[in-house]
Amino acid sequence: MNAEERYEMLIEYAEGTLPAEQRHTVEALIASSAEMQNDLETIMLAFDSLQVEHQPSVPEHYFSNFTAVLQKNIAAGKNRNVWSVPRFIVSLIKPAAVITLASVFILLFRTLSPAPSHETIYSLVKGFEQSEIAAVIDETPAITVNAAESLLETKLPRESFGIDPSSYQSESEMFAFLEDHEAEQVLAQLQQRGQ
Amino acid sequence: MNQSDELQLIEDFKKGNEQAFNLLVHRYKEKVYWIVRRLLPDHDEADDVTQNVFIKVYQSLSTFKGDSSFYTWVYRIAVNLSLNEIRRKKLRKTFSMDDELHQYKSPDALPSEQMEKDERTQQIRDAIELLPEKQKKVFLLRYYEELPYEEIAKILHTSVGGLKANYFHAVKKIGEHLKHER
Repeated sequence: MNAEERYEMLIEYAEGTLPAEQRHTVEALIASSAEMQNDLETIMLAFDSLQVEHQPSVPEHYFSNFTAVLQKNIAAGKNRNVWSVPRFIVSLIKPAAVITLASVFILLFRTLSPAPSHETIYSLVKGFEQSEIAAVIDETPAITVNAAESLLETKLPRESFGIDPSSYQSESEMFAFLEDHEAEQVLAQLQQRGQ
Repeated sequence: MNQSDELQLIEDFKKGNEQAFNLLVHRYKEKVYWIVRRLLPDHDEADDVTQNVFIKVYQSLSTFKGDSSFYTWVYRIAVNLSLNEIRRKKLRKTFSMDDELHQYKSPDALPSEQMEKDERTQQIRDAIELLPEKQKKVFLLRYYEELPYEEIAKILHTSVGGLKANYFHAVKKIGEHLKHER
């Protein structure tokens, strides 16, 4: 007997619908198997409990009024359909809303997050420890190290943080952006180069 | 009303006879209500879903081809809509305590025998609720609706052999739950 047959026979045995000759076979199997005994006991408990389960209550006249209520609901649905938006448009609403929201977010992000300015990069680099700047320089063999000049002015590509003297229109503009001692260093550099 | 009468009613409805639909509703409203109510113990929820089942039948009857019997088709709609509602309920439960509050009843209001019976009934419902979806469907259709396995196989699009195993395990799990609750 395979598992499927065993399941069916046990259920029918518990329900009392199993033919007499098969009942004897099942009883013999149950007597010889603790697992089947346990299964039968559990199934019997379920069926016995289900028999005493009481029918849940239903409001009076529920079934007699059912069709009338249904007709109202169907009519309400029909009326709603007369004024409702066509289905294909309804199905487009969700994707359209998602695309619109995504576009708004991208626009807001772009507006509120401008690219870092020249001055921001400069301030950032200024905040570096000298040792960090030196480490960058060490890893940049293309740049010649000149110990006599300021690290900040000569060892890093100037265009990346905006202290190339030629990028300023005037001395006063340069002073507006640089610390005094930095500006003096730049001026000294300019003089040395004879510019 | 036999199956050919049903098919005639469906044909009449397709031709515009609304009364034919009412006769079909009259025949199946109680059966559908009870299959839904077994899955959704609250009457109001069961009522909503039962109404929706027949609204769906009304809207789709024109496309009914008769590949399966009418009641197989209606039962399938009823079971699917009920399970959808259960899923929605579970989702709502995740965000709110409303369901627990509605289910609470004062034990003082009931005589002890009634209380015991109610408790037993609640344990059975809990056990059914805990069954995996497939076993739950099979159990409800087999035990409460007393449908033959062949019919259930048509409703659930599955094999009779698998159904028997599902039914056995469903009953066993209910028994095990009740043993544990004792």
